[in-house]
Amino acid sequence: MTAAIEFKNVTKSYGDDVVLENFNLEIEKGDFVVIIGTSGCGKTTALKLINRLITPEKGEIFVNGKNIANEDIITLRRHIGYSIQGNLLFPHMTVRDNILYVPDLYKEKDEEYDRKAVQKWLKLVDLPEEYLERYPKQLSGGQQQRVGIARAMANEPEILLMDEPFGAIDAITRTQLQKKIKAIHEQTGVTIVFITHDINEAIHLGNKVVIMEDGQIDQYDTPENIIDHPATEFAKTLIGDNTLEEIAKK
Amino acid sequence: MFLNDIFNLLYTQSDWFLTLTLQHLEITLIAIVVAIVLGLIIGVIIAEYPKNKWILAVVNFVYTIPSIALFGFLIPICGIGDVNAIVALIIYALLPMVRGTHTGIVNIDPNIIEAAEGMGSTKNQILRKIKLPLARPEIMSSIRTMVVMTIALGGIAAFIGSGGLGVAIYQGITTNNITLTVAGSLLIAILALVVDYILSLVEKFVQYDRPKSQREMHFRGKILNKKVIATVIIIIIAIGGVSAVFYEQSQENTIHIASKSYTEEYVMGNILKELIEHDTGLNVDLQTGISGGTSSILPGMVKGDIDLYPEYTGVSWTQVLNRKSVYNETEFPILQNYYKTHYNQSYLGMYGFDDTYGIAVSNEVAQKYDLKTYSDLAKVSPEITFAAEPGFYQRSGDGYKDLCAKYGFNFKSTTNLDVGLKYDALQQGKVNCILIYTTDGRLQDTNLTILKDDKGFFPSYEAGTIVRDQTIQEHPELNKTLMKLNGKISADDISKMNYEVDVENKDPSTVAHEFLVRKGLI
Repeated sequence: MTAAIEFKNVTKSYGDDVVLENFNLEIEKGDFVVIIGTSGCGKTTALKLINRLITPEKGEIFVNGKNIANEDIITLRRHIGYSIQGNLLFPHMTVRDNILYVPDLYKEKDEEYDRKAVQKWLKLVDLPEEYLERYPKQLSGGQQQRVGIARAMANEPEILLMDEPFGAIDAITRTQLQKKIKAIHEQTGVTIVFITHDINEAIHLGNKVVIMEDGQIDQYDTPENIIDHPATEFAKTLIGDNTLEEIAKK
Repeated sequence: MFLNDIFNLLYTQSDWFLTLTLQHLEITLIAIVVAIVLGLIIGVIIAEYPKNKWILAVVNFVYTIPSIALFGFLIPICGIGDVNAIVALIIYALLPMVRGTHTGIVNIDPNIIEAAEGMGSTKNQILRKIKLPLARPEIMSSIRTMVVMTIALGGIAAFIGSGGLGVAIYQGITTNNITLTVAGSLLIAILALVVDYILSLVEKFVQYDRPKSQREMHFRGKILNKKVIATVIIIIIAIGGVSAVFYEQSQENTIHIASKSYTEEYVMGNILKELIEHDTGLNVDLQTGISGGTSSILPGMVKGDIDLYPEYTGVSWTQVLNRKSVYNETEFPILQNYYKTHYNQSYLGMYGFDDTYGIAVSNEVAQKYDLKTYSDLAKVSPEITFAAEPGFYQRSGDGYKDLCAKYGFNFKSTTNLDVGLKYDALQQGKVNCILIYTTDGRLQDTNLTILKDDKGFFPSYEAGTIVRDQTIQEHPELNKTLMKLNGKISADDISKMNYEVDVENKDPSTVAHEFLVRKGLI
């Protein structure tokens, strides 16, 4: 079976600052992979390489077995959901228009399709339909993130990239949203690459976790194995004295 | 009381003011629409391709050129009149538009743009769906600034012979009619405020995150339906096109008259207009108050934008033939020949008055010393106080120094006094002797004696009509009509008419009409 995403010997630097060096990573279809690391460790760069917001100097990246360097960049991006930290909904568009942003980019306007799609995704992220005509600034931070997820999923992508989507959200809302994204993963089977700097979030969400340090992968394994056998000092510090049960409770 | 005068004026001449207002709207709206379209395009280009940022510097620089100078620069290219005005207004309006569009786009949160990019939008879609809508508030506020500025600036356009409310202001200034000036300015201010208010409503309407209530959406659907907008635009363009065709047709049988920016020229312009309309049935388009005088009008005559205008021989001599010598009328054939061979134009019909400088003393002084000529004055000049406008003292050739040298004047004192104040000063006995123009209206109500230039110091400025030869070929009947004015207007006649306009605040067209009737010319 071909991997959903594969990095092969990828190097990326900004000037003298090497962010990724000989980076290799294979992500299976349907996995929920969480990448964790300190800021500046190259995790966001790795994510942006997948939808070609960033181009590598060396190495290749494959999506569904195809080298993305040879793919049409626009088509590639439209089939990869993208959700980022902060309020990055389009402020001039209603919730409806935000959710339908990607389909609207290339599909003929189809009211029936739009209505169904919007209904489906609102339900999945637990937002009532009366929010459809509201603008982002009329929503709470948590609600905005829900719309953000719906927008990223609206074109039914096979891959969903999430860059600290819950970074600026209070703890309670955050837990709700984490449950939501896990449920969506189970229902749709979408491959998710999720970036965080919170070990609890990583262990709780991912069925695989990548621990990154200075542009290198320290460890890539299931949460259980990482907790039981942390591979590096950095991994040990991250996990501390926590057990899987304790993390799950949090 | 003053307000009363203004309202009275607006009321009695409401037709004229309405025409001016509509002209003003037309000129400024054309400029505004073009500037919006052009400014948006340029602004977007600069924002999308930053290597074009030098354009912003150019636009910035052009903006700093004083408006009067810019109008002047454009005269050789666009001639005088509406086109020049519109081009100049567009050039000024571009800066706020370009800057607003550019700022609006580059200030958008780059993360939002990256999000749109990451989701698979093309560059074009990002511009259309994200950048322009998000830059809209900034662009809209630039449009408001620009529109108010353009409407106000449109008032200056009259200085180069375009229509609009500036005509009232300029005529007011040059004929010393403050009420007229204020009325014109007031209308411009009102126009700017009204248009700005309308735009503020539009601005609210296009605010990008304006909540949509059901009713508003319904309303919006009706008003902003794309088909409706398209229809309105097509109708406007169609009307514009049709009227342009009609305009072109009517132009063929229209005689264009220009006149300079002082009282006498307003009157002469109106006399020519009414006489030609009366005699020939041709349409006449009169552009009064053209600043820059001969140097602005001559290019228009050469291009054919202007058919005829009142001019002075002495001015032709120095400004067109570029002669340094003092002109006298024996040299008229040289003048006439020069116009024929260089410009295919000729003087046709000399009115009979000489608008030159003169020296006048109060009647009292004239009697006391028995003064008749400049030579008489020279003998008693150490007793005499003299006043003239500042320019006269500095000019060489026919200025103060040469005058003194020629006649041996040695005045007790000399004073700088502006045109309007000289007469009052003489009347009140503050000075004994002043420099005058021989056709000044104020000669009528001041007790003074004009002395004779017995040594022929001042050049001759006989007034007459200069007309394009081609115009005469196309409309031979004009020949007879223009010659009807030959020798018909004395210095006293024109001085009286100037008085009626300057002091009695009569309208130049009324004064012209009454004169033509009085002389039995119509």
